Amino acid sequence: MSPRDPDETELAAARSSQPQPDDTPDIALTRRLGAAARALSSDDLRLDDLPPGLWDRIEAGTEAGTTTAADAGAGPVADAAAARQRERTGEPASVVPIGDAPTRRRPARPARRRAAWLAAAVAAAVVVLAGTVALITRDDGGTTLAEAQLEPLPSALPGTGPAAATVVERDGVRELDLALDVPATSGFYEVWLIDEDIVGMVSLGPARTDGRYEIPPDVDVDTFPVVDVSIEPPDGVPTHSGVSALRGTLS
Amino acid sequence: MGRDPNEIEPDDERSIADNELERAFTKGGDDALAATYHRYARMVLSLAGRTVGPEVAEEVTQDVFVAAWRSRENFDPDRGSLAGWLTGIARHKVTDALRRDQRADARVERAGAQADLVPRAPEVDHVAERLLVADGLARLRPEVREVVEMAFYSDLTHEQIAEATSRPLGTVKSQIRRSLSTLRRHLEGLDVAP
Repeated sequence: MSPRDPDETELAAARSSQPQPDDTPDIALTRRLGAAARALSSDDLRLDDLPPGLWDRIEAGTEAGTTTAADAGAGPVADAAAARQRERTGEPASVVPIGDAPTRRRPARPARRRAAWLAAAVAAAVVVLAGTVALITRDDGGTTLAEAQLEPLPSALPGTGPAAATVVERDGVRELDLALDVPATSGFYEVWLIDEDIVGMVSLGPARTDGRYEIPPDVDVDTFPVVDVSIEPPDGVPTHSGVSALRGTLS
Repeated sequence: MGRDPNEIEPDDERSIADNELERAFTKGGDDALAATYHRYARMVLSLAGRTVGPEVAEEVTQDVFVAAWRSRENFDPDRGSLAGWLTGIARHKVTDALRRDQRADARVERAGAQADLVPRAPEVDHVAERLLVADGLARLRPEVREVVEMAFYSDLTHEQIAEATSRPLGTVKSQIRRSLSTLRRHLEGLDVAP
């Protein structure tokens, strides 16, 4: 008999927790995966909800989020990585790649953003109405600089429709016009401009009923050409949730 | 040169989000812990709740995230996933809490009372592995998940899975191979956690 196809060996291991003498470490892990998968109960899929106040205690225990650059682990390695990142993308220093050092925070936004989020969470149910208006009623002149067609992603809620986004300059101010057609969520939607590597990103804020998002002057849409709409839980965590409803690229 | 995001497979996209988080965590930026909590705290809390019980779970979860943040230099994405690593830290904290419980139970027993000494520790590993696999499966695209579930729960060959799902054999094989590899990273993280 010829030696077994590695894919077949792996598939067999996923189905039997019986160890064999010639098991590689990966095959041994695959047996454990299979055993865990077969033992799954519906309980394992229902995770417990987080109690209020837990995050605050963790934050207090680590002082993360309130630290200065000196003690937030922004050591030489992080700085060097951040510098490489800037070099690569040519992004302005005021734009924060995910988890970057606090010296490059979005300027003067956190407090205002938190408040805006609360409002957005409350208003989430009316986001549905956000659509349709913005693009049609552009009777105020303005120059179209770029356009994107946003398509629903698999992580979108059922009923999410495609959307058109346009970068328009009006009186020297650039805005992203984006009419969303999305179902209500228990959280809220947030609009982002992201770089092509899906690493650095700039928030344009929670979904708005007027469908207009001002783009900060320092932000170059060529560097951040991807328009992304995320679904955010109303938990006060200011980063992208990792769950995107829609995405498209400006051109 | 970046890839066109429209061409990124959706399951890639989800793992990109997790990879981003792992990178941010190792860099230690000030949003990274919040994002990590956001993504994984429910899993850690659930592991603790189902092993040491809900009354201690919150305290354990707090200890896990504080400890994880303080020892974040020890997290190495090449040796396992952040989900696995956090769950592994949680497993150790849970085991410690169980030992404290058992010592307390033993004292009660010596005092002549009936104590129900259940050897719960081995169960901790199994709960941890189940929660990691459940989370890993939930992150897969539905059509990939379907194939991976056939890998775990059926006795169909690759060819039969391809036939049942009307997909090319090569696609089925690579979907299973990649998904199992992603899932194994969780167990690797679990095993190396301090």
